[in-house]
Amino acid sequence: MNTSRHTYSVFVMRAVLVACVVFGGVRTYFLNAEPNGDEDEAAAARERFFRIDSVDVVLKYPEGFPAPLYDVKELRPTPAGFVLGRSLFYDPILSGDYFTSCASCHQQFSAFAHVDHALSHAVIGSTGFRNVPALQNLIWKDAFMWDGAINHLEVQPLAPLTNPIELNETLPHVLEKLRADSSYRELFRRAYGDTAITSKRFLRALTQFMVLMVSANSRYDKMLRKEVTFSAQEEQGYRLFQEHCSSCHSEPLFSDNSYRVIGLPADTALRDSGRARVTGLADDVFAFKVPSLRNVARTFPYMHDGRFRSLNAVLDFYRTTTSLPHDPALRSARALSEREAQDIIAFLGTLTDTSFVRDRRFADPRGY
Amino acid sequence: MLRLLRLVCMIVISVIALMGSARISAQNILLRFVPMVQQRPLVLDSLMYQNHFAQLYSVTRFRWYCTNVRILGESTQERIADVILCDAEDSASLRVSATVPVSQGYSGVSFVIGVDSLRNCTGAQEGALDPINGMFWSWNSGYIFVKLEGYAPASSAQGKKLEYHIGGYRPPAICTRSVTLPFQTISVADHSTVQIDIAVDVAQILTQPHNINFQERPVVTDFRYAQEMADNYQDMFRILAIKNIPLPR
Repeated sequence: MNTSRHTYSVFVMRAVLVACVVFGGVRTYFLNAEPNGDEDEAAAARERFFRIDSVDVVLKYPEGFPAPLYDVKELRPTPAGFVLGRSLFYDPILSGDYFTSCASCHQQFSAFAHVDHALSHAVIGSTGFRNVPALQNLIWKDAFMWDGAINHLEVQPLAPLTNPIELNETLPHVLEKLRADSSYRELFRRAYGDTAITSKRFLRALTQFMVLMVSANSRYDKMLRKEVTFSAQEEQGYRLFQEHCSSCHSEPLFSDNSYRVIGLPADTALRDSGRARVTGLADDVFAFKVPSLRNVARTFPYMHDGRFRSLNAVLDFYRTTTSLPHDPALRSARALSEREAQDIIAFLGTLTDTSFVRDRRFADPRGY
Repeated sequence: MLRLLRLVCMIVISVIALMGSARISAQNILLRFVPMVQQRPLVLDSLMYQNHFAQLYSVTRFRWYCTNVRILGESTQERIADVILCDAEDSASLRVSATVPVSQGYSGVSFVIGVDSLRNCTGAQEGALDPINGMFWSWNSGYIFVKLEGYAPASSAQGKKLEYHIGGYRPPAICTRSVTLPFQTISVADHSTVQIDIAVDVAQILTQPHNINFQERPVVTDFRYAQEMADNYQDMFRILAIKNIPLPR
C-alpha cells in the first residue's frame, strides 16, 4: 500500500467531512436567522407606528377655526403624557368589570363614536340611555354631553367612569388599581417625574390624549384650501346646507354649541328631558346639544338616542311637518325636495376626515 | 487672634438667636369648627336626634366647604384660608390655622359656605377641591357644598336613608351663602394664638326657614329644593368661644 497517498486521501475525506459539517451548520444558521429577522423588523415597525415624539403632540390650530375654549398651553401636552393618556383610554382597568374601556364605546374608525349602536352600553349587561357622541375638536366645546352637564374637558372622564351603566367605578378605586400596577407607575413617572398617581394627573393625562383629537382635513376642508374641487352635486348640497342647516350646524365646527328642541317625538321609554335636566327650565325640555356634523357619515345612527339609522331618515324627518314644539330655524327645511335632500347628503359625505379616523397617534396601542 | 475669634463667634450666635426669635411668629389664629346638634356636640352614628317634626335621626356623614375665610378688622379683611373642606369624621380638618397681621381691632370672621363659580369651572384640581374627596358631582359638573347623610325611621327613601347633597353655582340652584360672625373686639399678637371656636349646627340644616320632613323629603341631591336647604344652612354657624393661648417659648 502506498502510505503517503493513503494518508493524503484520508486527509481529503476528513477535510470534506469537516467542510460538509461546517457548511451545513452555517447554512442552518442562516436559514433559521431569516424568521428572526422578520420578527425584529415587525417589532421595529410596530414601535415606529405607536411611538409618540414631540412633533406628534404639537397642536395645529386649523385655519378659520375660532379661538379654543380650553387652554392647551396651560396643559402642555408631552409625548409621555400623551402616551399615558392613550394607554388609559384603551385600558379596561378603568372599569368595574375589567372588561370595558373608553374605547369600548369611543371607536376611532367611527370618529370615536359607536357606530351602529343607538344607545351606549358598557359594563356587561347594561344599556345606556343616550347615543355615544363623536370625540373630535373637543377644545372648541364649552360643555360636554348631550345636555351639556359637564363644564370642563378635564372632568368629563369622571361622568362615564362613575356611571353604574358605563364603567361602573369610583375615582378612588381606579387610582388604587393604577397605583398597584407597576407599568402604570412607570408611565406616570415618565409623564410627571415621579410615581405619584393623583386624580389631577390621571384626568389631565386623558385630557392630553383628547385635546389632540382635531379633525379638520376632510374633503370639505381641502376644498376650502383649494386642494380639491367639489362635484356639482356636492357644490349644490353645500349651498343648500348653508341655506337650511348652518344656522345651527354652523361652519367650521358644524355646531354652534347651542341646545335646541327640534320636534323629535319624545321616547316614552327613555323619558329623557335633555338640557332641562341641567337647567330646570321648561324651555329646555327635550332640548339637546347641536352635534358637530364632521365625520357624520361614519357616526350613524343619529340623534341623542340614535333613532335614525341613516342620513336619509334624518333628512326625511327635517322635511316632515310636525306639530310638536320646535325651533323656528327648522321651518325652511320642510320645503326641501327629495333631490335636494340627496344633494345635502352628498355634501355631508365630504365632511369625512379619513386622516383623523386613521391617525396612528390615536390607534389602540395594544396592537390588534 | 483669639479675641477676633471670640468676636466672630458672638456675632454668629447673635444672628442665629435673632433669626430664631423672629421665627417664633407662628400661626396666631386658630379656627376650630365644632359639629353640634343644637346644644350638644355631634355624635356620629347615634340615633338620638329629633327634627322639627319630632322625627328621630342619626348622622353618618357631615362635610362642608368654606371658602374665602377672613378675619375682619375695622377697615380690613385678613385672609385665613382660601378653600377648606371640613369633615365631621376628621378632627384635623376642623382646625384651620393662619398667621394674620398683629392688630387690636378684630371683630368678626366671614366666609362663604360653598365654592364660587370660577372654581367650579376650573377642571381637575388638587387639595380640598380634588374630586377624590367625594364632593364633586361627576354627572353634572360642580361641587357639593354641604353633604349631610344619615338614617331616620320616618324616611321614605330606600334603606331609610337621609341624603342631602346641596350644591350648585349657576341657575337653577345657586347655593353659595355668605356668613359673617361678629364678636367683641379682640387683639391678635404674634406671641400667642387666638382660638375661635365655631359651632356648626346640623339641626339648622333641617329647619328654618324650611322645616324638613323626612317622610316627604329624605333625599335632595340635585337642583330641586337645593336653594331652600341652602337658605337653611346659612344659619348653621355661630361663635362658641374665643380663647387666648400663649405659644410655648
